[in-house]
Amino acid sequence: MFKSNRSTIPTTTPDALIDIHGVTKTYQSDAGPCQALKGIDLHVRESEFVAVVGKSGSGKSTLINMITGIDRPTGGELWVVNAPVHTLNEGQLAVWRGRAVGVVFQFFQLLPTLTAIENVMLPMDLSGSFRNGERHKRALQLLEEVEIADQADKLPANLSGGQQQRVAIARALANDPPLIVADEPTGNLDSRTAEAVIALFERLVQKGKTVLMVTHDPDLARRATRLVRIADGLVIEDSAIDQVA
Amino acid sequence: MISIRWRKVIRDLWLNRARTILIILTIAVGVFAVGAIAATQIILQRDLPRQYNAIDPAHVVFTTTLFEDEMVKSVASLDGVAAVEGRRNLPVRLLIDPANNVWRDLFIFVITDFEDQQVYKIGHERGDWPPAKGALVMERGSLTYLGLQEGQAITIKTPQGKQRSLQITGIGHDLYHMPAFLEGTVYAYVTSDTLDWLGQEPGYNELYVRVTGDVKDTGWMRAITDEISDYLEGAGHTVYYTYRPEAESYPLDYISDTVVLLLTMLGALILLLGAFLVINTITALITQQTRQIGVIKAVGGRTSQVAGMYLGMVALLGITASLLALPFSMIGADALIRFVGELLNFDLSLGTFPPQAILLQLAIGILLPVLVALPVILGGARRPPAQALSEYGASQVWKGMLWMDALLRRLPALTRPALLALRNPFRRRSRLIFSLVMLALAGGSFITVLNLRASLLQTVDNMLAFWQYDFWVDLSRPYMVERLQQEAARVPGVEGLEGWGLEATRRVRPDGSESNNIFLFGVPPDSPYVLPTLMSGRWLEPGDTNAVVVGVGLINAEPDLALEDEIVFKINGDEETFRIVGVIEMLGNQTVGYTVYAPYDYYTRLAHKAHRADIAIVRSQPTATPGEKRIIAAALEDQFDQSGVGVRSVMQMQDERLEINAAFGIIVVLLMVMVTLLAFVGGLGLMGTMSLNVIERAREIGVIRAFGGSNAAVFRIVTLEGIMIGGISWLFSLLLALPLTSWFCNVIGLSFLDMPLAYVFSPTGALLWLALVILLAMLSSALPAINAVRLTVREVLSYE
Ligand SMILES: Nc1ncnc2c1ncn2[C@@H]1O[C@H](COP(=O)(O)OP(=O)(O)O)[C@@H](O)[C@H]1O
Ligand SMILES: [Mg+2]
Repeated sequence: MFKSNRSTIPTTTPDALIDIHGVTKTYQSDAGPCQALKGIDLHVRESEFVAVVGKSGSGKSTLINMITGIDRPTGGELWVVNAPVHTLNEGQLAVWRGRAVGVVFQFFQLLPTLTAIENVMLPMDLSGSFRNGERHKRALQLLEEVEIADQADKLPANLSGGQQQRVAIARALANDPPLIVADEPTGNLDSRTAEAVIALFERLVQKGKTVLMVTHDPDLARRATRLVRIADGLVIEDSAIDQVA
Repeated sequence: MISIRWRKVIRDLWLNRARTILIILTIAVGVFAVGAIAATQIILQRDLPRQYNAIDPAHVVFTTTLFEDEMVKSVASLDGVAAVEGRRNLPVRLLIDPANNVWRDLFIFVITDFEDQQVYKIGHERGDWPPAKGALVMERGSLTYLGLQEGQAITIKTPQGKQRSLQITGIGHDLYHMPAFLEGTVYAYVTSDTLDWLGQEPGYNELYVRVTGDVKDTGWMRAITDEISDYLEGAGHTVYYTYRPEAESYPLDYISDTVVLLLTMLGALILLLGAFLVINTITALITQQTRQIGVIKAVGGRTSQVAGMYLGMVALLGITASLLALPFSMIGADALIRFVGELLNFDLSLGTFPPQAILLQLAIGILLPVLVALPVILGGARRPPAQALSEYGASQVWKGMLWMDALLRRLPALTRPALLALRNPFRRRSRLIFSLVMLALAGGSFITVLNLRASLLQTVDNMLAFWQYDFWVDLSRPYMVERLQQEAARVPGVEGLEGWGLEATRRVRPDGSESNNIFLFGVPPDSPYVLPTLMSGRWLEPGDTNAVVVGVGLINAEPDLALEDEIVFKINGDEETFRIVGVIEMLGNQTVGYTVYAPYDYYTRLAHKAHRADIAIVRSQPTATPGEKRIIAAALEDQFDQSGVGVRSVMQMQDERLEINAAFGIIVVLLMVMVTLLAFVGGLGLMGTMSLNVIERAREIGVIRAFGGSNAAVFRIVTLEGIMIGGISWLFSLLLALPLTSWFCNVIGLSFLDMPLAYVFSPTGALLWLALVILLAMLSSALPAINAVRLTVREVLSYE
């Protein structure tokens, strides 16, 4: 249903890549229910670079998981890359996610038994995008873009943290999704490597991708075009950032 | 180019070689066992009856006074008769130890035309056929049993006491009679010329008849038997016995059926174990890869794709295992079939491996693992990625652990690592339960099989204990007991002699039909020469009249009979009514015959041979060695000979013992094969489970080391934990073995002996398994721990 290009699918707000209304999320745990999101509204247009900040436990990861469809909201509506994410079932979500969103994790989460380039090819393999022969070429291009093509045939265990995160970003780009979502992508990296990763995101935004990134680091957050601050499950600040580049 | 998903599957298998090999071996052992067993069953069930039917077995056997060829011809022309053969059965004595003058029975059969046998055909193995006058053909099983060679001469003694020497010039194959090693009876075949040369009257005393029509129709079979009997008696012959072998069975089917049954049980156990092991390993694998599955789904993998990957992995393992197992199962089946064939004196070999067995193997090797892994894999693949990727829940523990903790805290002597080791296994409840079930199953079956062996041996002992004498002498006619005792007193080494009655009789059923042969012994109720193992009722008591104690085999063969019932025997031609007062454990079936015991006085009066004995029951001095017992028996036989007491044969109870042990030996050998296979599969399971437990906790080991735990401490924790799980599983094994042993004792006992085996819980099995469990648990926990401590703390903590 959401396989082909997004322009054929009508949306409520055509220029919004992320359009969410009143999203709530309540976790049921042994200690009782815990409301992690208390009604989030957020609209993100194409080519925005959004930094999501907030204290630990404020609900950033939960929000990210809602947007990527990795988890489901308790209430509210989410339109992400033209799809009503809150209505999709697991199978539809997977198909949609494969094409629409590139996910980058804090702990890189490369599959340990696949080489760097194979990790990048995996999303193409799963969603059947690109012809078989093209995948390798494309994966190599992506690795070149993130400046790690020389490590293409190494297993993740033989790469440094920064190198692994580059591969993970290349993997997020594999199916050329319009939206990249990253949850603390630099949380596990030293400051120089983190800097490089942010630079990479900036380049992607310049090329027309939309990036939504959670970070703890105020310096890095300032590199985005927009800052969304979350506290206790609510958006308490949403402001454009003046680029002093 | 293979897809990335499959590359991952294959690389996962390759990078986790130890685990991969473990699963492949487990499946392969199951496939091997099932294939070998199925092929063996198929071949046995096909070839045993086929080969037996090829000798044209008789449907009815008549034992009569001597008759001539004319009689054979006229019976052949009766309606309903398909084929007839007359043979002379001449029991002689064979000299087996010239130095000590020891003899044993030899049955010589006279075959009129070796080249044109009609019924119960004796096969030609090699050598002269037919044998020349003064020479004989020896049955091949008898030849090896006696340790004789082709070409050797043997010395025999005819019923008239004449000694003759005959040369063995040919070897035959007899499928009708019990193999020598099982019954201790040996057979040879000669021509009528040789019968004459031995100074015997011509003529046959056994008539073998094959009939037309439905041999399973008992009414018809009874009618034709009666008709032929009447015909023989009308011609002036006395018919001593008629014997109708059960239709469509062969003499040793009680052994081969039990073998097949045991093999089936073994196959089922191994499959069950293997299935558990596969589930266990796949569960561990899926748990271990939970996060990876989450990642695959996060980058666009559908549930069906994830499930496909892991199912494909299992199928790949199954295919590899099946291919690996196939040649071995052929070798195994061939060995098993030959083993059984040799024991039963059949010519059996695998030939072509039955295609059904191959199909079964592929089904078991590929479909079964996929099927048992399916729920686990689907569960893992369906898991929402949020859950799979979440840090939440990873440290959740089972509530039972808190309870365990409370318990452990009361044991003050425990050090910190010991405490960790003891509580660790309780963290993951489902893993623990699975491991325990699998180990308990393996241990329970292992212990059961060794218990079964002990039970079998105990049962044999019980049966053999019945005979509190060393040998019995079968007399040519009833003699006064007093006279026998006087003669025996002259023979040194004889401690005592008792006279018994013995009659080969039959039961007359209420509907007038007759049972197969039953051996009725007339025994003094207070005889010190017997020690019966009662199953129900009581043994004979002084003052009993028409009481009988029966072997359990008879009750099973004649199911309308029970304790306290009346039973009618034909004694000396008259129908006499007895009452069953007891049932004892005693091997009895249509092949070896059934036994019943009646009071001596009452029986001998009925049979008009009061104070006389058909057989002499003899005990030699308790210190006599087996060799000396033989010599004492030979001396008594000699003494009887010289004083004019006719001796037909001497039966050594030690031989009887050997024969019963031989029959049980087959079963025991199979049980030991079972134990070995089970120990192997169980050991694999144990190693797999243990090492998975440790591998899964690599992270935890990293934490222990990060907080300054030494390698030695890590080792202590994991090995202690292994021993702990092993020990708990051992207790469960013991519990499981209790009902399992009793079930096996019933099933195997009923199949083999028509009675449940004596229930024995032998410490051997339990202790052996305990040792095995502890040893393997330590090894298989320590090995992966070596790997775990090699990982740096960062490696362990950064990713799984
Ligand atoms: N799977 C879960 N089960 C229960 N509670 C959870 C779960 N995930 C997150 N929470 C709770 O929800 C709140 C928000 O968590 P999270 O979104 O991870 O915060 P952040 O990423 O901003 O640190 C926290 O209080 C956390 O304890
Ligand atoms: Mg977070």
